[in-house]
Amino acid sequence: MRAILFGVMLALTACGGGTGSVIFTAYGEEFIEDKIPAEVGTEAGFTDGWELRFTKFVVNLGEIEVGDTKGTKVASMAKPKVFDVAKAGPVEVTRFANLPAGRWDVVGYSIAPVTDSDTGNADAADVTAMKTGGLSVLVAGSATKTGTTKTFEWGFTTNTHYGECEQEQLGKGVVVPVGGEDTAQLTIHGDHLWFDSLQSDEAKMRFDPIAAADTNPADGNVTLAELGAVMLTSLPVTQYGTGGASNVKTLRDFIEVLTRNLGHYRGEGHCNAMSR
Amino acid sequence: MKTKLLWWCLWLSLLLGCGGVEHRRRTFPVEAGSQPITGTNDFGWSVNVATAKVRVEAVRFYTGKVLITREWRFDPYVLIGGSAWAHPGHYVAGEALGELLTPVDVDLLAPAPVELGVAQAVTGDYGSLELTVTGAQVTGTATKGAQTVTFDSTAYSPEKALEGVKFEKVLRDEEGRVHLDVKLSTWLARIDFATPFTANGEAYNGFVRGIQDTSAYEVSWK
Repeated sequence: MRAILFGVMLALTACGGGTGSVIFTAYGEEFIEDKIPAEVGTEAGFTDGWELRFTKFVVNLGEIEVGDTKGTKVASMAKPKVFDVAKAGPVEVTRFANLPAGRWDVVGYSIAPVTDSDTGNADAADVTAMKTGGLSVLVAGSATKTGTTKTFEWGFTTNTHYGECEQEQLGKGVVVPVGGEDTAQLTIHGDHLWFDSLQSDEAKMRFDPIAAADTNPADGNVTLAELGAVMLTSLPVTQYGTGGASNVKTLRDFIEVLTRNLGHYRGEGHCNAMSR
Repeated sequence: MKTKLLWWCLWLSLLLGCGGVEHRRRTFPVEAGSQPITGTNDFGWSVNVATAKVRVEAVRFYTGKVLITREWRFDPYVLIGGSAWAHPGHYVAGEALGELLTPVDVDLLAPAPVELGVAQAVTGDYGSLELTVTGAQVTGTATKGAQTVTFDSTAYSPEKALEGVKFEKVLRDEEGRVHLDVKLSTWLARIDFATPFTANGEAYNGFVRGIQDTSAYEVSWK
């Protein structure tokens, strides 16, 4: 269906001239809005039996840009906005009107520390927390397994630009239809926080090592400081492989790197993730 | 299975001329050496290596760009996502371009690079390689303050090959060879030499993680 719509849009733009609109939305998908279940059969989930629910998944979205590979920029988001993608979505982030119709094959955005951001759909208290901590990502939730519950609330200051966004079926960037609008979804993948490899295509979602980090104090709440005390060398060598990221030494380092890969495009589409 | 499939695709594209990229058969030698250790490791140990050996079973070359090959913390604008469509958990080796399947025991402290053999390959845009390492051993002494310990890392028995070693080169018909340098400092960076090299112990774990760190291998065309 998407491909048909895309074809129609492409045909419309082929007529030449005219303008149209692009709407960018943010969406956390079921994994963030509902839960990440325990893995069952081939269904994605935690391989070690945990079930996890986010109570918040706040991101500072900004620098949304539309252009082409020649360097022409036709739209640029004026100011970042803070969104909680754990709330029902997709939710509109920004809208660009009167753009020249046609394919604009360079689309990018950022998830960067809050400076002077506007409030999207996030709660005021979370926006304040983001601003106070200079955060780019703030996640909170709980995980349960056989009667044990662990909570977490972590803020990250990682600064990542997602460029050259592309979706396999829809192609690069966006297509602005004459007199119409294209919608481009900035999809946040909450499951990526829990991968146990920075490189392998056989990465699994795990929570056991994170739950086990809850020792100082063992109060049911896992803190970033506790994750920082877990050296990867204390975990099985078959887990938490770091590829070529030599400086990733602890579980906290590992999850911080994973926050650089939350941003996707139109579902399973990808962008070129650059850390800054 | 994945490798076999990739090779079938490669040879099919050669036979049928499909796929849009022309490949021509070629060969090139592959050699290995090491880079000496400088400074101290993560735990403050200064290491003096007496012997360093590795058994390389195979080297395979692919088009896929590497995911994470550089330090991310100190570079202001580091690529951590690799190719535009890859990210952690989604490394894609891509198309197979060459392979060297002769097992070789390499003395990493040899005065000159050790030739691993001649790779059977094709021209193309190389992005990464895969190393099948079935054994590695490093011996020596480590010093920290007044403490000096003698160590002998136990043999390394991996469950799978090391994927995603960076090797970006547009290779046509030029003469040359692939040179693989092992960074011994990366191999030994994660080891607290105060702990013994017991099976599944943290020292051994750190050694294995060092070997599995793809940034421990610097590959160049010479």
